Amino acid sequence: MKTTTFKFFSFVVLVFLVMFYCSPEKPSLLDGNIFLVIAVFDTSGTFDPADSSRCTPLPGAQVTLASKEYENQFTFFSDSSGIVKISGILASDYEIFVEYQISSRLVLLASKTRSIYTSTSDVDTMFTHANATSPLVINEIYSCGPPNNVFYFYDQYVELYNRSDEIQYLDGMIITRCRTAEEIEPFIEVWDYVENTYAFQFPGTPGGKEYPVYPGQFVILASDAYDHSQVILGAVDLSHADWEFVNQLSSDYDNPDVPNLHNINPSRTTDYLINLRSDAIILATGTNYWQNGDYVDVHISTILDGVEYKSSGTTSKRLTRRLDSGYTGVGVSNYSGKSRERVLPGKDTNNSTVDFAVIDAPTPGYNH
Amino acid sequence: MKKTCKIITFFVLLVLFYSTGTTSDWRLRSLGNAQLALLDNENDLNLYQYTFNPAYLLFDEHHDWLKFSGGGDYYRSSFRRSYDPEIEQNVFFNFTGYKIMAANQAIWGKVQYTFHNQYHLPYAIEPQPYADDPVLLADTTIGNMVSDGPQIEIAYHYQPWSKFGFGLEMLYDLSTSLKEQYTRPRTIHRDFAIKFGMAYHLLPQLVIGSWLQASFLQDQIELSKSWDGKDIYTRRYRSEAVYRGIVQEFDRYINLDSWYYNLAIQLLRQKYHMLLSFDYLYHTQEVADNTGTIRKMDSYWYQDGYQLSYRSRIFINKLIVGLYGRYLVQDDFSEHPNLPILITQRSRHVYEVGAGLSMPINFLLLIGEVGFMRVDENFMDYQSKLSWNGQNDGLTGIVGCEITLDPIHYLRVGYNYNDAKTGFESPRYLPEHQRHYLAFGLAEIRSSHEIEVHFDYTMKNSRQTNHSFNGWHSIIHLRIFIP
Repeated sequence: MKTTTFKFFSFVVLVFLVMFYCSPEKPSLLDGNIFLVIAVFDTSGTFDPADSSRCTPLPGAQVTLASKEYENQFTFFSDSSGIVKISGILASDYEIFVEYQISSRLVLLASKTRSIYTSTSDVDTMFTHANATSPLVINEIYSCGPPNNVFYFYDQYVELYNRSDEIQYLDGMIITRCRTAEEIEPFIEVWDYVENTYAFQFPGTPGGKEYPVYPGQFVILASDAYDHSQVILGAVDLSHADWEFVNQLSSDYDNPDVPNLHNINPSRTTDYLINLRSDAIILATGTNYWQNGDYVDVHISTILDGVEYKSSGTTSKRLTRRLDSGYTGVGVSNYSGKSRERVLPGKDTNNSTVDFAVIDAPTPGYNH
Repeated sequence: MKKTCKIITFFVLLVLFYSTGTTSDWRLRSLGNAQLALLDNENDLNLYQYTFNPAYLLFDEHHDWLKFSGGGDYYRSSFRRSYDPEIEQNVFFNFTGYKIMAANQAIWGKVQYTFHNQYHLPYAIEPQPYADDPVLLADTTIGNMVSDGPQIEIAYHYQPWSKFGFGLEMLYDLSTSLKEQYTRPRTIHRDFAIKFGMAYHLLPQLVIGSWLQASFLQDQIELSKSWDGKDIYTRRYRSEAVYRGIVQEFDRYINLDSWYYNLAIQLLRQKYHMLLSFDYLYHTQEVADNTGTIRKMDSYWYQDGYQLSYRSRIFINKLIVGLYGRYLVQDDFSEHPNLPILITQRSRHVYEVGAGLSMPINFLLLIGEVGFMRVDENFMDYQSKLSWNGQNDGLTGIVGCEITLDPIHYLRVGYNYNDAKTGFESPRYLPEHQRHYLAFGLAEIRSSHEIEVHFDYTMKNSRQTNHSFNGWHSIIHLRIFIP
């Protein structure tokens, strides 16, 4: 019996010891309390042409950190020495974007991806380069379809906007759906062209002045210029769209009251339809493109605007950062009725992450 | 051989008809949830009833019996938190049995089946959105969640020596739930727990007991693309307000491993019953997502704590005075899945005291209780930059009356009032409110069997708004004593 008593109390003591010594160690680093310093420089000589070093500190630049792990963005501005003191951000992988607007047509940009999980006293650097922005931009992309259970997504449209003070002309311009396959991904930053699966062209000749877009005007390009609300309640009425994509190589729906963009890729015999939640499209002058097998390649120097959208921030970039250093559309699922639109009409810094916002319903012909 | 057959038959009965784990204290519930000064079979101040030590099972009951219980409840509320359903409905039935197998062995078992329906449940996909861990999976729709499943529990006590015994208890719980609206998550809930207990009789009135329990719980949440082609859009929270939106099909695994330890001293003297208990708990939770190709950790959460509690009953002629005190300390924290970065941490202290009286007067048994509980909580959510630090106080008053209609029939009435005051604003707690609980019970007790019918009604009123919570609960149970 004494042995039993001893065993009983040994058990009690042993369990106590094991329990109290097995507690996990609490981390000392706190989330949301991370700081770092970034120095922003202009390497293009645009900000201060008198500075021959071509490495001018850039005061007043907007620095945006977009978390790849959470739906949080943090915005800071550089001080008079071009220094940005970042604090209070979450531990995460980030896309860091720098933007400094020189004029409505010229912006200084920089971007990089960085893991920021601990505070550091080291100074990171961002070197900006000058980017000319287009007077005519892609303002809204609606592709995911209205809320429905019958796979209806044919009320897709792309909205253009003239953000300049001058009349712009659509004559001969092309709008495409980029090829975003995994195999071309390693080359997107190397090629001097963008490869496209679909390409449709406005009538007229590039440089012509038959199809004007007035300052502040929105232009709706409909996949099918049809009142889709007659099919699905809540779908978009596009019967009064400004333009309609019509593939002349197929028996595509054609609204006789709406002028057409026509297919220029003979290997494609379907309507202009884009992926519901993940794709990239470009708008180009139409002055330099060529057929390359099943694809249409567009020289990068002729591209006016490019926008990448995807529902998940973790997937890799599919459109060169030279055209869009970010992406929009995170969280947009198919048949959700959501759209992606610039936060302000025509706001363009070649970074869709900050230029665009996800909106709950499409807004054809106006901004939310 | 005959004995073996009886045992097998007993187990078959348990498995076929089912039974469950905790004591079915419907008499106590009919008397307003009074506990402190009320003498009842299911309410003895001993190691089995209050510390659930299976090594005291044999001394808790003196007859073999089989019991059937069935019941349901219905709650409707406009006074609720963000992830609370508007309507909640439960139906259950269970079979419980107790068998003294020999002079030094006893077995108890329970089989239960439960249907649990939640209507107009907003956003939450996880079964326990307000568990202490900050991790949450949510979608953007309001829908109905239906769940059902069985639970089996068995306890065994063996007393090899008069002064020493040990016990074993096992529980297995399996249920599935489905949210009927998009994103249509299906959750498979599995819980397995095993407990090993010992009790040592230092003196005939003085027993010291101890047990160790390991519990392994897994919630597997399956999210797959629906028949209408819609993507699965979910939000993964690692803290109260920061989330990541995901458009992807995946399975989520929430694995919660728990260890519990109890050490208790029981003193049963003629005029004084006392139970002093110490508990230690330790939880670790891992959450992982399986997207089909990779399994990725999404969070870690840890909790540990201890509790000291004291219960006593003093017998002064026919008057019984019950006293109760409890002190609980709990700490928990969550950290980033890949790096040692603290996301949330909490420290909680709970103080609770209570006192009760019961007194038989002719054909009446009168009961009264008062209690006070303070929850002192300091919560820091570093990721969401959210914190609260303060006290929630609850004051409870209970009155109950049992009327002996005749030697075998009893009518019970009870009322329980609770006043809850909050010293901090937190999305996890209901704001200040009052709760009224009114209960009735009717019982027939014979030497061969007992039948009991119970009904209660609960109402909670918000102090600041017109919102309220209303619900009822009813049950019938039949217990047959096996001669």
